[in-house]
Amino acid sequence: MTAAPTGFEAELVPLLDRAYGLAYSLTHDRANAEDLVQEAALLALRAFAQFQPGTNFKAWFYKILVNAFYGQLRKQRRQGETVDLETLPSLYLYGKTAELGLQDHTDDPASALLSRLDAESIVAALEALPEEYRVACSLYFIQDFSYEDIAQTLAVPLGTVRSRIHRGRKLLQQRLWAIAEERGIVRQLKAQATA
Amino acid sequence: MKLPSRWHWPWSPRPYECADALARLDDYLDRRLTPKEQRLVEGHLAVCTACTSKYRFETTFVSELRGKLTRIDVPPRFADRVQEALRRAQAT
Repeated sequence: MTAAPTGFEAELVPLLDRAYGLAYSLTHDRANAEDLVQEAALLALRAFAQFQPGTNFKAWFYKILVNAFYGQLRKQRRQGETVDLETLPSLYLYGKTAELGLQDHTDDPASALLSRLDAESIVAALEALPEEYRVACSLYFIQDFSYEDIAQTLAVPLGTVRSRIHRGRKLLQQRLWAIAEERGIVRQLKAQATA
Repeated sequence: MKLPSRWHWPWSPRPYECADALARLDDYLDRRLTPKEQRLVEGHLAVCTACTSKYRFETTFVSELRGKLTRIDVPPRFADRVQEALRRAQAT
């Protein structure tokens, strides 16, 4: 193989830490996350001649990373979870914290809940989302990608990105509440609200 | 003269009610509202504490999540290992 074109590593290296965060949120496994980024980096190196200078390297690289992730999933024959998307409630966590009486106890109930959840819990909640929502939400939350960047990365229309983000956010709230219940955080908050 | 709270100039857009504001919550969070919608939402939030509380909750939810997820620990020397792998690939 010939040497990498000048600039490839200069473009890639600043993205690596965030790419690892994205890979970890997709795989929920540290070794697999590292392997995934490495695989994507090698694929990107081989394809770099096709990259058009001046276009969005970040979106181009993440597209390769996400496709590599989908490739791994196909190998594992992992099936997506079926979710009833018609019945997703809005303001789920707001409603749940209001039921606890947390709104009366603090003027920042969202932080009161989320400060008790670590990054691992949030990644676990993300992992429980169906694949298409998990990928879109990971790009949205971890990379702070715009709809346009997500659409370019996933090669889907803007409307699809919008609905995946909106629904993914609602699903994520349900998962996070379930995790908070499992870990005794809801019980702690309830005690705090009634103290 | 004190105008009724729901009064508006006939040539100006109808002020948002709670249902209008809540229907635009997701797009507000994603900064996808038009400038006119943004003004109407903010106008409603200025007079509605219930919607303000919901908007603040959702805004904090997104920013807290983003803050935590961007602090995922990266293994030591991760970037070095990726760069080593790239150099090995170039050498073969």
